[in-house]
Amino acid sequence: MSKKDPEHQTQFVQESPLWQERESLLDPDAEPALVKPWYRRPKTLVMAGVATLFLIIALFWLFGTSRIDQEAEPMPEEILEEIELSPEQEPLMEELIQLRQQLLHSDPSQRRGEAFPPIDLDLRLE
Amino acid sequence: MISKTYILQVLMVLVTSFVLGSWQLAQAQESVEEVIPSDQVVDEQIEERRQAIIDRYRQEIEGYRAAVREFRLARTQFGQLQTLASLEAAVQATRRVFLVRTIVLGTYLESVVLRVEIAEGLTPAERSLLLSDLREAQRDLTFHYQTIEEAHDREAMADLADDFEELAPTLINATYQALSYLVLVELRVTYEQARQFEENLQEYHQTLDDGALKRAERNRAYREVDRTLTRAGDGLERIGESLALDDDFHLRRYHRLVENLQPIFADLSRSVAFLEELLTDEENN
Repeated sequence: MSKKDPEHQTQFVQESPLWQERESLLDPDAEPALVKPWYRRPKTLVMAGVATLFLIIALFWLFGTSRIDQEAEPMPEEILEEIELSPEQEPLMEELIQLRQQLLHSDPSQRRGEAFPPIDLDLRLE
Repeated sequence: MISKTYILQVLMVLVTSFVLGSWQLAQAQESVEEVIPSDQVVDEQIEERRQAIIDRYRQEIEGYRAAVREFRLARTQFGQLQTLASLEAAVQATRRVFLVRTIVLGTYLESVVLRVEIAEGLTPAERSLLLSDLREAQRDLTFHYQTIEEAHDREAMADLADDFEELAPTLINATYQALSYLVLVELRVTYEQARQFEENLQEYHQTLDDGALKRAERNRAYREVDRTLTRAGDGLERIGESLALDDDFHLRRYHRLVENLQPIFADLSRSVAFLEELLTDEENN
């Protein structure tokens, strides 16, 4: 049987892995192909990674530090009040406490949320 | 070939981002309802007036939201049915939402006017400029309200929508101009108080007799405080000058201003921490 023989060619094709796979797919009694769990699928893993990244960015955006450039941490007010002072220092301490309250009040990041009322400026019947 | 699962996953990510974004936006909008900061130092009468405006504003914004819902429903029904009855209902809903919107904006402007009136740190010229622009906006709004009251048909509603399109930038400009100055002057007041405190503390330290070494150390500390405060003061002056020259105020410009004020606030915080150290250090030594 030569290689050009049609019978040989058919046998050659039928022995090929592609043909075998085709046969197994067409066979109703064949074992079902194994389904990979989600964590073994590259696409799912990539998507999970992207979703996690989104979540991290969103969380940082929501709760991130708005005062990163504020290096100086003032002393808690209760500690300040507990410090024993001379009579000359007492008015200065009161003044300092007021100054600190004013400082907290003037933090521009607190005003970031202020805006014109949330109303639709372009309402039209048609 | 993109699978269905892949598309589904992409959609899930987009939906999650959208939900988080919407939540943030909703929070920002809620904070807008706090039209006047509650910790502002005001006397009792002004406090009552302030509270009354806040309560009224909250009520009106709820009314506005309900009116918008009704308007959208009526407009959709008119679009689908195209009957005279649905047209009449849509015109009435439009008129109502226009009226309520004008009332809400009027109350909001009233709150901004009150804040400008009581704000510390504004120069007379700045206060006068802000109040003049805000009152002009209030007058325009009152005129718009009267026009809505007299309007009853479809054409009039279209004219009112055009009128409001012209009016809105004036209202927005006056509002953000006032908000910009209000955020600036809060820092200006802090700066002035810090300078005053620095002066008083220095006077107190001059009365102490604790040796040349300690005095030299303290002088170095004061120079550092002065440097930081001067930087903050210069920044405030520069931003104040740029505000005076500006005549186009809007949300983005306002956010930029808040960002630009952040380093000044950091300098003021640092100065206050230094001054605190100078005062308490005396006690520790």
